[in-house]
Amino acid sequence: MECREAEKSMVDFLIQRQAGEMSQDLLKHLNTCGSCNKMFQETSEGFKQHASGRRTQADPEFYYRLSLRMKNHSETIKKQEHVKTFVRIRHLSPVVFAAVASIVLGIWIGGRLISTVKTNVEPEFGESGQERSGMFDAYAGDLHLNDESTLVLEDYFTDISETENHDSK
Amino acid sequence: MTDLELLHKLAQGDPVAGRQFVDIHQVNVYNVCYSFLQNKHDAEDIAQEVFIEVIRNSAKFRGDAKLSTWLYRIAVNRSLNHLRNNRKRRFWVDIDSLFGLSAQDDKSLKGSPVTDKDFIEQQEQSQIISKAIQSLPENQRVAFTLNKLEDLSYAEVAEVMQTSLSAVESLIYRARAGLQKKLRSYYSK
Repeated sequence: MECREAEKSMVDFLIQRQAGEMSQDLLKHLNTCGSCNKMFQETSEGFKQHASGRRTQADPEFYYRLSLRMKNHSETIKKQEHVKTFVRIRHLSPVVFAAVASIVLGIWIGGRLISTVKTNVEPEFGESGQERSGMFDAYAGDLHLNDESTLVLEDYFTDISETENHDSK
Repeated sequence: MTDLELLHKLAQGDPVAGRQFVDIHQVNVYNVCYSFLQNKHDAEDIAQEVFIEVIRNSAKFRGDAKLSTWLYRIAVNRSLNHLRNNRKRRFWVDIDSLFGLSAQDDKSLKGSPVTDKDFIEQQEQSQIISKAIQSLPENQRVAFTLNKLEDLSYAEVAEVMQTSLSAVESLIYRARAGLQKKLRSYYSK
């Protein structure tokens, strides 16, 4: 058996962990080749160390540590819920603030607009009550004058008609 | 009491059932986590997370798969997630342990007359194997670890990975070939 083939066989053997089934060819080669024997020893030791931290029996304190952790975990979750709520409020507060500010601003702008429109419309009919009543009085006076004019005209036409009648007789 | 009965009692909040359940499955879950993480503290941490998840979801287990399969699946997924999340951190932990600066694998120091040089050499060998396995693609690494290190059968590995038997055989064959190539290339330097 050559070294290359021996290397392949020994790694395969170590991976398979079948301690009692090493081939005779490999065994013979390891007994004769110093470098392959060294490689086998080192690789075998490497696999042992790789598995050295494994447990072979249960740790009696494991359940106690697990219970403690579960208890701490529940308390941590409760705290995290409070923190999450606080973080959510903090994240939402700019949005809420902007919404409230928009509503207030909208109401204020709307109020100003409405008052501006009323102010523009009202001056056509007189800005104050006194001016309004003055104009009404003037209009009424004008009507009165017209009434008087109508009476004068009526009297005039009556006089004319009487005069004509008199003349015709 | 069968596993399902135990789980049923666990779902009802029976603390005795909980203790029994953890004691029965603790070693397997821990060893699966350790096989992937190669760190005792991380393995303990993740194993606890696995049991917390199992206890929380015990009512949802329908019994269509074996309980051990379910446990292995959760352990594998959590371990792989931990590796992905801590890739950078693990790089520095590996460097420290290579130079013997980390306290993580100090089991060999306890009560055994090893010299510093021996310890460093052992750590190096362990690191070589670990790095070779870590360098495999994820699916191959999972299949190889469950079959070769955890002694699960091909059928059990297929159940855990939720894939077919032929897929598992192919993954393990390729994992072995990849490892052989890496280890040969390292030792031939």
